[in-house]
Amino acid sequence: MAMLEGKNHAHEGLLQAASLVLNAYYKAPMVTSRVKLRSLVLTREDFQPMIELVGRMEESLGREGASSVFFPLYMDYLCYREAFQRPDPPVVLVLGANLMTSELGWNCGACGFASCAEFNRFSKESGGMGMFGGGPSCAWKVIDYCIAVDYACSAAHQLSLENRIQATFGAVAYLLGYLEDCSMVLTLPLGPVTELWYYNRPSLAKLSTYSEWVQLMRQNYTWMFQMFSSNMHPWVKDDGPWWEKEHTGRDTVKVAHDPELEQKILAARGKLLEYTIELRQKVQEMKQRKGIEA
Amino acid sequence: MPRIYCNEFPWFSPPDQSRRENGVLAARLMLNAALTAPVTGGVDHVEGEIVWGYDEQEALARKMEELAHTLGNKRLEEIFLYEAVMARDADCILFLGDYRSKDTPFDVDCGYCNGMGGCAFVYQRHRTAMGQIDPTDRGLQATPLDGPFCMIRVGDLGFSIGSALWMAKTLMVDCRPFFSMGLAAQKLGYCRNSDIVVGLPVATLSKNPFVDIHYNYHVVNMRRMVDSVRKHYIITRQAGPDYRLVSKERFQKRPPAGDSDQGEE
Repeated sequence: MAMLEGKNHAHEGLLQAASLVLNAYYKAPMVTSRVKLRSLVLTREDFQPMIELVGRMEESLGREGASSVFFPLYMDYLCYREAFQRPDPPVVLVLGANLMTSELGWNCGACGFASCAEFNRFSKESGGMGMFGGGPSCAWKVIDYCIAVDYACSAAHQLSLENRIQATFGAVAYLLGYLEDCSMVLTLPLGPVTELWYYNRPSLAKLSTYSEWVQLMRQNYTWMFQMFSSNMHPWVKDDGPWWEKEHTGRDTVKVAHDPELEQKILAARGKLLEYTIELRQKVQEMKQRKGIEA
Repeated sequence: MPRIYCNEFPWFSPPDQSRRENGVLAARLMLNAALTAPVTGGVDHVEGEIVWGYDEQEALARKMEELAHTLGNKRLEEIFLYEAVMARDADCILFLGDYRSKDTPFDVDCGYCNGMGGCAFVYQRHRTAMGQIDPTDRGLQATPLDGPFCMIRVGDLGFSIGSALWMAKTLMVDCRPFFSMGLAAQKLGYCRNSDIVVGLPVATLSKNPFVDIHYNYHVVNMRRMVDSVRKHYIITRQAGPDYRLVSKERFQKRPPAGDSDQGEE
């Protein structure tokens, strides 16, 4: 018998594990059983256009600009960028379905329309691409698709594979057209062969500083524990000895329009569109080369 | 030591009740699995309620039958009637509801609910004050559910249902997710904070009662069959004579001892 290096062998097993996870995905019980599930398995270079999209954003707009599009996307990008430089990169499942039509005729109203016919009409005339995916969506098909995705997650969990279901890179996969005719796409990375890669995010911890973290806390939780109540502009305590600061040196809270931020976001969205168009072409060519029609 | 004896028949007998209690244990674990499912942003969104017992399940089934006829939807009529039978057959029913889908959207303009319009689509279609959707504005809508809902939250409910179903599978109990039971439960006040509820009946029977059913199941099902057997048996039995006045024909000659050929009798 051959002698095998354990970690390599575990890594080689990821593709086989992916097939088991996908079997769970397709076998999930559903409410409507009318959702056509689609999926792709991506390894190494297949995934690169997705990293490249956020990478290019970072190159042209800097770290702050790239993360201003959607911060969790940037956090996942850091995980992936490092994961694909490891000798045991993940196998990434792209899971999607088209939830934008309803043939149910239940007229339940969960979508906000009085009937499935009205929903379908709106979908045809006014529906389309949003930030993360397409809409409108039939709520019962969303439930069914997500049950299936959860089955994939459960299978990965029971196989003790490092994994995390992601809307962030699902949105990137959606934008780059990895799956045809899908309105909701999520990604499920399996591996790398290690623990807590996508949860404690060691790759993020390497980059972020303590002062950045303090700033994040101040921006999000100010009024919960750092702020004095006031009818003017309430002032905010610092992480350090705030009591030593003069009133003139203190930060205050003010809700105001921020044109500078607006410009940053607009610029980021412009770049996102530009790079998406370029990379979509690349993905299409890659799929053709590999004979993938889905 | 006390003994726990289980047998699925006769229905609602003490041995059947013992079996149903085990089903409730499974449902309790399923509820916890639903709470640990992956969820967007890690924010809690799901509430669960377990319902069991003859009265409760009968009330639910009757509500489903009422909805079958009052919703005015031909497509749902049969589904609701057939699934009412399953609500009676179940050991217990776990309801999972999402309490954020209507009044606390995820606010990221994802587009799942309408495309380009972002979260405004949901906010525009409900009563709002101070940038918030009014949570007390409920129950006056024309459709069974008061949409539009945040589809990220609805998807999260799907994840929770998936985990509950996976737990059912792991525990080897039968379970399926149903819209009909969820809607009836909502009308009866179960999962009362939720805007969308799904019913997950649990069964620990020799035959999964949620699959392999036929047309007109609300009329032709095991309960109706057993009832029919009782009816016919009782009618036919009354043709029996006074058993004390036994006719001579009742006694047949036994075969001689040692003769093993029963056919010669």
